[in-house]
Amino acid sequence: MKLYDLNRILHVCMHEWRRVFVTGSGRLTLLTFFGAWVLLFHYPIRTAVDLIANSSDAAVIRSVLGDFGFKQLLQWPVAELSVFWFAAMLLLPFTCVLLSSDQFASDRQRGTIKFYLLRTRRSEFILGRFIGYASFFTMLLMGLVLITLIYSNWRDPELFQLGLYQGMNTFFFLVVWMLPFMALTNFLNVLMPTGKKVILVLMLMYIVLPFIDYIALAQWQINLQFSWLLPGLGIFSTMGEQGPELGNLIKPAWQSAIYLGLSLLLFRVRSLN
Amino acid sequence: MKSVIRLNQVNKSFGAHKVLDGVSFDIEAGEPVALVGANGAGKTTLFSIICGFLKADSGSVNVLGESVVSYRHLSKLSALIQDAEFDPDFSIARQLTLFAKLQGMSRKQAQMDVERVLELTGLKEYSRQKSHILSHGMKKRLSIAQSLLGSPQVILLDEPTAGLDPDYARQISNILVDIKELATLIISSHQLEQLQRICPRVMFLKEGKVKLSDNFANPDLSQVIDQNTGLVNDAQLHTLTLRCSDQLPGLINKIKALPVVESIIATQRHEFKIQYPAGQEPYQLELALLALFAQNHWHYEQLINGDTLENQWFSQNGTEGVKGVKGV
Repeated sequence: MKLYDLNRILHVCMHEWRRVFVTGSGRLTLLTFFGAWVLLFHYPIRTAVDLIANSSDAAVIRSVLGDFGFKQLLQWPVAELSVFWFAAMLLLPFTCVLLSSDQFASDRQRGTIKFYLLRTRRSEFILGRFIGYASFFTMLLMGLVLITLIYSNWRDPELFQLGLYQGMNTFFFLVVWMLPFMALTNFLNVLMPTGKKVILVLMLMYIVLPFIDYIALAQWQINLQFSWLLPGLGIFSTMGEQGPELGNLIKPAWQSAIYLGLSLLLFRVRSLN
Repeated sequence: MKSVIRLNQVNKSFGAHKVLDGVSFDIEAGEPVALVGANGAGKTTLFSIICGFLKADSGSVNVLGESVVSYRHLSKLSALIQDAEFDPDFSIARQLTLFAKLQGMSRKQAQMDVERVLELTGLKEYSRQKSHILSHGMKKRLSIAQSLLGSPQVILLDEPTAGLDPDYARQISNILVDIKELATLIISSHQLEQLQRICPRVMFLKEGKVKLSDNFANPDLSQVIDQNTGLVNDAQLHTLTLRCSDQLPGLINKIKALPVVESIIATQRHEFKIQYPAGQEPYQLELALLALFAQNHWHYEQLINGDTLENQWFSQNGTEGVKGVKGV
């Protein structure tokens, strides 16, 4: 008997894609997501790009932003991708958590999961769902990077080649940066009965873990480093000279592996009432 | 006969409450088995452990000769799970197709099989609908449909007719009668008459213990039960159950006076269990009873060949249990 049946993982994964493209709620989510980003591109991002790239006061603005720690970001060759990257680093984690908060919690609550588990291993189900969400989010990111490239090409066609390289870098960086958020929600889905509770617990983690770190350090001079468990921290340190620093992806890759591993382990022994 | 489900010393507790207490039994392929127990007796827990949804605290669970944790039973063991619902985002056919594909079928095979099970359960016209528009009875039928996908060797049915009106209950009973040749059915229900119609054997679950009876249409069983109650001697006896609509004065004495009657016990209001020795002329007692009723211008409601499951259930609750158990 095989340890994993890849076909079953693929079927579970593809079913999540169908949820997005075939069901009404999925299509609405997709439309809202891209609609919101098109608005972001059209107004704040385009305005920001105009300010730092084209306006008469560009040099002054670049110097002020540099003082705030955006110096490297302003050196990236394609301004649209720089602004998009920054906006994505701030906004996409929320979107990612919102979209992936209910990976299977409601299925567990409704009992639907039992229909799956008569036919798949628990680990195949977990992996199928995770890969389904991760691949869907990768597709969304690819769409956003393409839209950004179209915008930059529209402003300055000569930026195409540079944009392609920076765009690929940005895309790869964002995909790996977002993975631990999905792995963490996957793990919380094993424990929580609803997507809403997953979001609440995740918010609590961002409040409580740094607080514990702070107390331990201040009171007992122990550096617990619990914040290491929180994905998405330290955005500014990820900025490289020509694009996002790919060396910074080791931490999110580890976080993803740890949360997914915990998810698989815990779900294996969890009772389904 | 091949063993399809074997439990050995399975224990399960929820906190201080022990639900299953050293449960051991062996179910062989073929005849459907009824699982009977009071509310909260642990029927659903037992099914969940067999399906692998719950882990037993101790003991071993083997399905089709392999431990349940080995996952080798996937797609061979199927279940109607009480209160489990389909995903409201997808149509019935799409979800069933997914389940069929997870069982290893190609897309085309899956679509054909979905059509087959929907036809069998009378839901073909709803294939494009979402499950939330279905009535309670239709959802049960849908749950049965998913359990029939592929060719499962064992199907566990947890209260297939609970909460259904008589029409739907009958439809589901008919489906179960139709499919009982296809797989070994294990049915948990409080509808004892329905169970009696489908299952020749019964498992009683009480205070965490399971007792698997022999075939209860088998005349030996009545002897065994009565050994427990101490009401009759060791002679092999056959049973007739007589149901009347009214109180009939002198009925018991007149039946007792019939030549072949060994004993008569009032089991319920206007219901009597009549026992007679095996080896009599066929239908001798039945004919004598009918003649007695005709002679006295009495009416009877039902004359049942054998003991009823309902009476066995009450005899279980009043005594330690059924002997002749095939426990391991």
